[in-house]
Amino acid sequence: MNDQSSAVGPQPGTDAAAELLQAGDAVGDRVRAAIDARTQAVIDAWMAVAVLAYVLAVMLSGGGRAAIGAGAGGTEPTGLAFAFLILVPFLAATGLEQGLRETLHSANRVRPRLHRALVTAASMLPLLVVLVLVVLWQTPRPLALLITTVSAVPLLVLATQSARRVRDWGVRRPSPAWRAPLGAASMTATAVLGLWLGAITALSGTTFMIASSITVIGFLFTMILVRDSRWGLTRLAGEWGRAQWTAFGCSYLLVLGLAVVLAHTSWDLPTVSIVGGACVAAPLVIAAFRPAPIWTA
Amino acid sequence: MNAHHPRHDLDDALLTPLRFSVMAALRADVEIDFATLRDLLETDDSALSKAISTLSAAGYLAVRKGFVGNRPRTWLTATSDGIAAMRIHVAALQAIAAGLPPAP
Repeated sequence: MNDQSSAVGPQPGTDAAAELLQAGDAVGDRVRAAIDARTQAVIDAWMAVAVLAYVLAVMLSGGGRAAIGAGAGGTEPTGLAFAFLILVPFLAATGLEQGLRETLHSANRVRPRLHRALVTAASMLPLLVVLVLVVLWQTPRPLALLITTVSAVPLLVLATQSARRVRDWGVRRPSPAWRAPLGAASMTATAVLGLWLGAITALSGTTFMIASSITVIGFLFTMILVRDSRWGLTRLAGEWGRAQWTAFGCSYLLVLGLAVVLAHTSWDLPTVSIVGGACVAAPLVIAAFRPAPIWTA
Repeated sequence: MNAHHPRHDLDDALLTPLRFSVMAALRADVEIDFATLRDLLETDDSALSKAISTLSAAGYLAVRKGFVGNRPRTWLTATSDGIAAMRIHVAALQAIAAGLPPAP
């Protein structure tokens, strides 16, 4: 393509105008695909971080050891609550990730099937290894840590590659020109997500086991039931901006960190979990009222 | 002749296919670096430079120099004037393509 007028003359006729419009649409599609590819790389990089944080939390909290050993006397919270505490934010993160992928214009064309299979396998490997070694087999920690670290290497490599692609990518969104508060449903859902994660965290360190279980099961059921509604994680992922994603990241890491602390601390568990629950809820509740960018396409 | 033919709304700065494609690529919410845009449009450096100079002189796109690591990058974005001009130009092309009669 050169910078000369079209062959039909300085001003286009009917066919030339149609051709120009088609060419413009084709270029627009290519740009959209390029933006999607970058978004895909961003998702891959952050999900790798989320998976690695989850694996580390399972490892450090002792996973199954806590689940089986603690709370035997009925005076302490069971380790199952800690296990749920790690699992719930991870499921929320995967739900949000799925929603974000669905916002892509060309979700199926962005990544070749082989690459998608590689990312899935690299993510599943450390998850399976840590669950088998720590939860099922109760492998001694140094050995489990060593094997899990080795199993996480492919994911680390893929995450690094994705992060490098994001940095070097030649098409990106600039700072948004327009920002607006989230819609009422998304604002409420964001705040409720924060409060619910906070409640699960707060109850995990108490002896209110029935309330704790109901909160967790209720969360999981609600997440599935409202998935595709305007209250669901899919919709949230499409509407969130940097403030909301950062808040979720903070809450996610706080929950995982607290699961590790609760599994090991000699401090008063209810106090730690209730204070922790408030800290987990705060970022998302605040972020629910922060504006998010509006993109024109 | 009182009729207003849509060709009168065509923008001189957007009349070449390359300049039109550059503006079609630089939508309101996207920033593209020079090399990527060259590859997307399947053109060469000199033709793209010329098109960018013309569009930049018309105030339709903004050029920003930056670095990624140690490598210099030239980022291009459409200005609000450019987006508005493109909208009018596309509407005129659509009217011509549809073979609409001149407006009274």
